[in-house]
Amino acid sequence: MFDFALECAWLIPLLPAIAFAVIGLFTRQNKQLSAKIAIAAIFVSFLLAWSVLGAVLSNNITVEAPSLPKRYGPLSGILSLRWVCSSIR
Amino acid sequence: MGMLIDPLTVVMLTVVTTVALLVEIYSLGYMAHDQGMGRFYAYVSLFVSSMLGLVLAVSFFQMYVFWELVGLCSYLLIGFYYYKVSAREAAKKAFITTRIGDFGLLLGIIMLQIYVGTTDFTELQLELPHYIDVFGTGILTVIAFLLFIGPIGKSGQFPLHVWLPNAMEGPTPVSALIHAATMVVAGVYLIARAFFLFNQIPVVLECIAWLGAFTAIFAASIAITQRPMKRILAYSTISQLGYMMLALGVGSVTASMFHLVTHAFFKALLFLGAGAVIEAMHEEADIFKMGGLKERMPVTCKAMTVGVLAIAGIPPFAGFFSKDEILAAAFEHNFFLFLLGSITAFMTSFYMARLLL
Repeated sequence: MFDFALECAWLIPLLPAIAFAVIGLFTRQNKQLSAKIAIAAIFVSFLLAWSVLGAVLSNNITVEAPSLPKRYGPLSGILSLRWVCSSIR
Repeated sequence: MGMLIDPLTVVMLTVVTTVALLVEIYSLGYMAHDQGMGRFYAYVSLFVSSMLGLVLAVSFFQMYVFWELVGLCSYLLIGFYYYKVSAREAAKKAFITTRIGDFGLLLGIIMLQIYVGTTDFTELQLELPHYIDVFGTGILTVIAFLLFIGPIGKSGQFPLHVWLPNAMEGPTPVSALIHAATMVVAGVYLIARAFFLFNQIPVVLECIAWLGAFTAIFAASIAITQRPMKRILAYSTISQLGYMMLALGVGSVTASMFHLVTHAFFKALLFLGAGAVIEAMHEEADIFKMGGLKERMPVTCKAMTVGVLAIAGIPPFAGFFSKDEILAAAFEHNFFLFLLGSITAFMTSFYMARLLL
């Protein structure tokens, strides 16, 4: 029932980040609209976070056997500390 | 980059999003007359996003990026009233103090990459036993101590606790966020996440336990001497963070995370209640100049009573069970740690009861 949340968990930090960008760039002068955007973003994150809890409980995910639903290869390569260290050498 | 989802992550995700949602709704009224309300919501959104990114991090390196973003957002929010000198100074103090800790953490991460070959949590968990078999724990001890400097700064442990009481210069909802969900608990989470590493080096765990116990009793003794409401709550946060570190040091991640969750909710409640009281008192924060608020603010009084009973460890409130579990773990490990924890619990009851009465 909650399995979708495991695949969409990346939205949990992304939604408030989008709210930051939208408020910072466009709606900062409009106080009420800014507040509504921020609260809407965190509300969806809140629902997703609780759905992830449901998914973890129903799929029997433990600390010893965690879920690793997404790995972003190219971005990982760019940001990899291993790459930085090998460049220094 | 990636996501690591396990029960530890989920606990943090639910706590952070729930507290942040409640704080943002509270801020609708609290910040209504502030010209910078739009800017406030932008910063808070970035703050929460950074903390959620930190929680989902799959490696030390990814975590460090969000760790620094959390530090940046705390600087922006503590200095929100930038036209006040005290707010600017407090923001600088918080930024510089946490930078000291962050530098240690960065050195630890770089050493981990150079010596063990990875900073990925799942890979590290597999690699570490082989590494220890071949090279021993010498370098790992240095790495663990360096990694621990980050949480000392971020989670306000002695001697890098100095920034936390000054962080009260920001708006009260920000204090609630920093103290409950989005900043100070990051250090506790880091140690819990990398507990498989710290668990290999008993000497580091012993240091964490003793530093946590000392911070708990030290901050509680300062809280007894304070008069401003928010400063009492700030020192109580340092004290409770010491408790969480003590639990980690004695090897009980469960007790530490349990106290993190209960503390997040009752501390957010106490800060939001304190914000309402201080607003009603026209910015007067001295608890000795207050009185008779029970009749004028009955709902706030009831909410604060629940929060105070919880932090004081009175059953059947959540704080009783989490503190009990920490003290039980400490008792099994070392009697003096248990004694320090127990004395701190009594001191907490005293200064929180004084705040309420």
